[in-house]
Amino acid sequence: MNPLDIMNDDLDAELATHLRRTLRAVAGTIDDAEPGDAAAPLARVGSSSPTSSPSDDEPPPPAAQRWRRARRGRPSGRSPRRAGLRVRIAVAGAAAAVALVGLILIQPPGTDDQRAWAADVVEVARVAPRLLVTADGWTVERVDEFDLEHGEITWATGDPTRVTSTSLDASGELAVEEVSTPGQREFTIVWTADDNEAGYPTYAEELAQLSERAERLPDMTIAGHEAAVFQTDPSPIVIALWKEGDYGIGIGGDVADLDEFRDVAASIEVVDVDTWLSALPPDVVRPADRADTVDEMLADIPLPAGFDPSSLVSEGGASEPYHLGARVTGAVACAWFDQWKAATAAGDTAAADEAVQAMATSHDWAVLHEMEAEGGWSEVVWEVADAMAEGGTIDNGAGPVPAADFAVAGLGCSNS
Amino acid sequence: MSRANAAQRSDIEDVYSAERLGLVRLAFLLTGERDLSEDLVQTAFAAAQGRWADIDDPLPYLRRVIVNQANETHRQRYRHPPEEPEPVTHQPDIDETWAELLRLPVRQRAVVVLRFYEDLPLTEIARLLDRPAATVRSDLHRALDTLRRILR
Repeated sequence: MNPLDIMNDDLDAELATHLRRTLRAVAGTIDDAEPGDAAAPLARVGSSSPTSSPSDDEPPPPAAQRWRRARRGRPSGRSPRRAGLRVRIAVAGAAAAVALVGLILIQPPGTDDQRAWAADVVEVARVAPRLLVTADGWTVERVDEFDLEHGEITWATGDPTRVTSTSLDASGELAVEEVSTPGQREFTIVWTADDNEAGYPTYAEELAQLSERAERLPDMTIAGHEAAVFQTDPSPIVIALWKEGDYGIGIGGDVADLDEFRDVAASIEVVDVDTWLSALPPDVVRPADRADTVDEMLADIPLPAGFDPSSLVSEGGASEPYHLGARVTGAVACAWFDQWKAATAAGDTAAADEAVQAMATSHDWAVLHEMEAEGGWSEVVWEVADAMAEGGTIDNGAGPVPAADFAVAGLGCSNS
Repeated sequence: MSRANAAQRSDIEDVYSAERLGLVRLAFLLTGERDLSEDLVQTAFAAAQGRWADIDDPLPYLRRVIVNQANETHRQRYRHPPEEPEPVTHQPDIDETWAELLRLPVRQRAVVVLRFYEDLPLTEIARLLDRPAATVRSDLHRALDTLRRILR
């Protein structure tokens, strides 16, 4: 059977058409003449209590979902902190799913054979568990979080070939994007401090959720610790948890099968500070280059009155270009968003219009287009701009989505 | 029953009459199970009744409860191997594609159904699923890649 004989450039359009036809045909098999359907009155209203309604007292999401959220740097259950660079990066990572946390490598001239790490990076390495996957073929793919409270490092193996995929974007336009091939597997190590303030699930919370929701597998010894092992999903997501000092350690394998998980987990070693840091991706933008890079990023971006870009230059932290771009464009976008919000509330049409028009130019900001291939940050900025232009909300036919939803949750703008 | 309660009651029944079939169809596309689909819709209205007056636009709310419940039900059943889907339309190309849709991870299937059956934009799907839009787009890409590879 060959239901889709698609060998041309219109592949995704034809696939979309076929899927629409399939779903409508299948849905059409459900009608009021179905036994048990026609006579279904509104009988159970008030007699049952759902467990997943979107209410304030909604229970925390199941462990597998929370794990995936945590892997993407997005705390669940509580609101992420505002303003901290780490959290802004985490949000970028959530949107991008491929973002990296840059580690500042200070390499003085003439010291090519020596690497001196920034003090805050060394502090993390000194305090946090230093675990390395040493299995053959596995290399660090990304570092989504790197903090004393919480860190996430992902290793990957398998076919690294990038393929081009086209799909329909939010506006119904065909979008072209590079995606990983299915042959690539990932293995993530996460550390979370018991007293973390960002809302990441602690060891106890994670263990409780997994114990309730997932299948418990035989314990494993990993890096000298007895770990509880769970399988959470029909897809081969395996999670192991253990406690180490004030941290909960979790490892998650989006791997081929349980045997591969065991092999990779067994290869995890505790290493010294330098070995650990040396295995992680180094920086790209050196501190000395930061001012020029920021200037370049801001070259075609209109700035609100009083906006001072000097803090973008002087602050430390992540320096990978994607994150620096997110920091720069986020600061500008939030400043315009704040002006628009205040002006709208005060009835200052001119100031509100100025902000709308400035943000409308974001679709042309060069840095956002450079970042677009790496992750979803640019898209979030444009969503905020579009929502502002459309009167404060985007209504896609299923209820208005406030601009603040994108600005606060997506960019880390102030909610006040 | 007060006049306000009577009006509310009437309103929810109107929505139930108008939307139940569409929502059952949505639930069926998410779960592949007819009886469960009716249960999910009933549960969604049960959830809505207590806060009906606070719900500005019932349909997105009801959709969200149904999608959440469908995902939850799937997770609770993870120990059971999936059964081979039965033909439902007796059109071979449709039934084969439907079978492959049911084999997708539930998260990817939900995105496909919401995108191509409900015709929701990705931003709205992201809001409904409480996930970043880029993640939803990634799920859609993965689902389409899988389907393209299998159905080619």
